[in-house]
Amino acid sequence: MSLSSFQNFLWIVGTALKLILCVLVFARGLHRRLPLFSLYVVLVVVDDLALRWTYHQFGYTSPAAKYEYWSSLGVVIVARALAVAELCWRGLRHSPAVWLIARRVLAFLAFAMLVYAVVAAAKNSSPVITFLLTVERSLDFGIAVILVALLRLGLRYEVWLGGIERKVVLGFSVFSTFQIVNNTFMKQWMMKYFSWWVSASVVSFEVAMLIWITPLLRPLPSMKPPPTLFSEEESVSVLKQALERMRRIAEEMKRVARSKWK
Amino acid sequence: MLSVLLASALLYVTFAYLKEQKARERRIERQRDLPREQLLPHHYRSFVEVENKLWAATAEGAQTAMWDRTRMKLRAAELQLAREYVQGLQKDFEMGSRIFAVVMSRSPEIGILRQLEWQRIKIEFPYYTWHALICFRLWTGQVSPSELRRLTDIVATLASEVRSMLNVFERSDNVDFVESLLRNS
Repeated sequence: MSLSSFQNFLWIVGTALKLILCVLVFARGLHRRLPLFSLYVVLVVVDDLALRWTYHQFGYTSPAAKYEYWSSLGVVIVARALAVAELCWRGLRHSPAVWLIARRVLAFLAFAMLVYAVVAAAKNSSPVITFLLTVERSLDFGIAVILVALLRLGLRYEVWLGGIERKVVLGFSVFSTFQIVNNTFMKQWMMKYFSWWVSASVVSFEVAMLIWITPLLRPLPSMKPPPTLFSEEESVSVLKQALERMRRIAEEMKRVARSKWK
Repeated sequence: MLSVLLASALLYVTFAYLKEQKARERRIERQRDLPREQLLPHHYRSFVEVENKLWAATAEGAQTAMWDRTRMKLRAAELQLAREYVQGLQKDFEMGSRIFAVVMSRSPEIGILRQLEWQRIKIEFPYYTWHALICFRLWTGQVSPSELRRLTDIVATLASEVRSMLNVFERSDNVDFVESLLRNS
């Protein structure tokens, strides 16, 4: 069995977009700003080319194609998780305490995801495939939640992402949402319509790539680091003063609120 | 099916937050050339003026009653005035809150951040409660001068603490930081 002409078309478009994205990432110097995201893009291109070569040499349903598909999926999943973690670091690195909290939450989520996938895999007759699919599903959901949390923290603490980082967030979010929807609808009939499931996944990734490519068509604006406030010891003392002021405001609020009911 | 709904909701929230980030960029662009005073809470200062206009608009009989306990039914012009004033207070509160947020975000210790966050919630809760109550009254075409004064008190306290905090920063040779804080938040 070989790929249908529609699937071939999607693959060609996908490969072309991946190559364009990879070239633009290095041409615009995004690899210096987001190295793990750039690594992810490179791995996606390598995976695509290796998969195409395997399908061409051994056929779409050959055992070689199966091994290549599932093993590369594992590598790309890890790279995607690292790219999202990098986005979080990039967004929160100037807020040390916020990043410390976020790091713990990310580590806990990664651990919970792995435990869930191991438990699911242990119950199944194809443990490796089940493990990878469960990790992928959990990761998609985890990414959607983490990115919303990252943006919410940004709004709460006035920590802002640059234009390109925002597009990367949007691309990941769109791809993960498509994947969650896709997995939900295809879960029961996945093996029967496996090729459709793969095609839908390819299309969603192509949409994400278009979102990433668009801002890279122009040179990236430089990011100005926020000005340094104080040394660590000084900032602790200044923040304690700020805390004292906030306490006074909170007390005043209480007084104002009580005066209403007198 | 639940996961599809949840994923769609998450995507929607992502879009909304990204839009807010974009709006923030536009706001920063706009405030680049604004005078410094405009970057600090200032709308609350027009309370006396607003109160005087409301007083003048009140019927003779109502003026003699206990002004503080009055809940006035407003005409279109005064309603618009009160609405604009409450919107101004909201802007003031957001300005003050943003300045505190930037300072808090630089916290090197989780312990201090936790305490600052707790105080921030204690400030936000009564403000938003009063704000919601006043907005509800305005929606029904009424206003209570005493409630308006209380909301003004809250914002004025916040504004005064923000100003004195910025003065402390400036006195300790952090003029550039204060300028950047005001222009970029």
